[in-house]
Amino acid sequence: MGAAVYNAGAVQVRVDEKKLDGAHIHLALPASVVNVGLKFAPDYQLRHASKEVQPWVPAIKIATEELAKYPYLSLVEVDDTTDHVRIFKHGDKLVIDVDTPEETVHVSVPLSTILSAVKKIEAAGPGV
Amino acid sequence: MKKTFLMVMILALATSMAPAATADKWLHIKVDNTGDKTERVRVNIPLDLAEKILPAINRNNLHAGKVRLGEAKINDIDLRTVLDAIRTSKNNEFVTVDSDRAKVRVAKQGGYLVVKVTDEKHRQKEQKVDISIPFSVVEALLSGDKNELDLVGAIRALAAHGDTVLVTVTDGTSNVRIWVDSQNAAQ
Repeated sequence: MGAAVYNAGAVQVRVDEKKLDGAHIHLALPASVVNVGLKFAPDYQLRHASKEVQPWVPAIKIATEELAKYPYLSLVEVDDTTDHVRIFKHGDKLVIDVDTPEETVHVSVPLSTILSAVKKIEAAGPGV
Repeated sequence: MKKTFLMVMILALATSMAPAATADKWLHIKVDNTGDKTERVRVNIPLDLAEKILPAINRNNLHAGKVRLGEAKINDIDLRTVLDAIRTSKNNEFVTVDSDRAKVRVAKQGGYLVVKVTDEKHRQKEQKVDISIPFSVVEALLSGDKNELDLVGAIRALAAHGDTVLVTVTDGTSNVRIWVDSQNAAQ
């Protein structure tokens, strides 16, 4: 139960390179770590990120609120002869899965974390 | 007992006549390429989501859910002129527009704007484009200023219309289909 509770609010990143002795990166970070990490980001980088994200903040807020209504939602599937991409919403998370001949990548982020991070980046903008 | 039975019957009848909740409508895009590079694309977007997000995006020509077009031309064809001609034409009467690149036939059929495009430059591939848009959606799209398209209005009209296939494109190696229904995944 402890593991289930932990995973529920975690940002998960898995990267597995398929070559011999390839890198395997598996991260499961509590969502709160993302917010703490933003506190340590250099101000100039946060201001730059804020400037880039500002025009999209209203849309991101609405998207995360609306996506929360759907328990499961397959948004995008792309397959060609070598690469496969899936973007979907599962439970309270936005999930991106990529499978290429070189590597597999899995990213799973709680929608609430996306919203929280975007708000913090927005707040770091100039004049705020 | 009789009175209770009657009350129950009236309640059941009233409940059955209550309007059903409006089902979510989904926009689906399906692309299958079988040419040199095999490719399969599936996109599923709830119309409700699109309707709410579009007004929040203000970038380039997109503002408040409307797209501003310079001269509203596509493939050198003046869109509004063609649509005005269709609006005043009789049902099933095609307006044919020839451009350097394609032959475009547009008509009003059974409440739909129907567009059939034959790509003249690539006859060997026999590319065909069939577009069928409910006229209510077209009207909503053009309900704004002369040089803008009201995307949010069009999405609302589309959601209200019901299940429909909007676009099919076929050529020798590609199939594209865009449609709206109540399923949350492409079938």
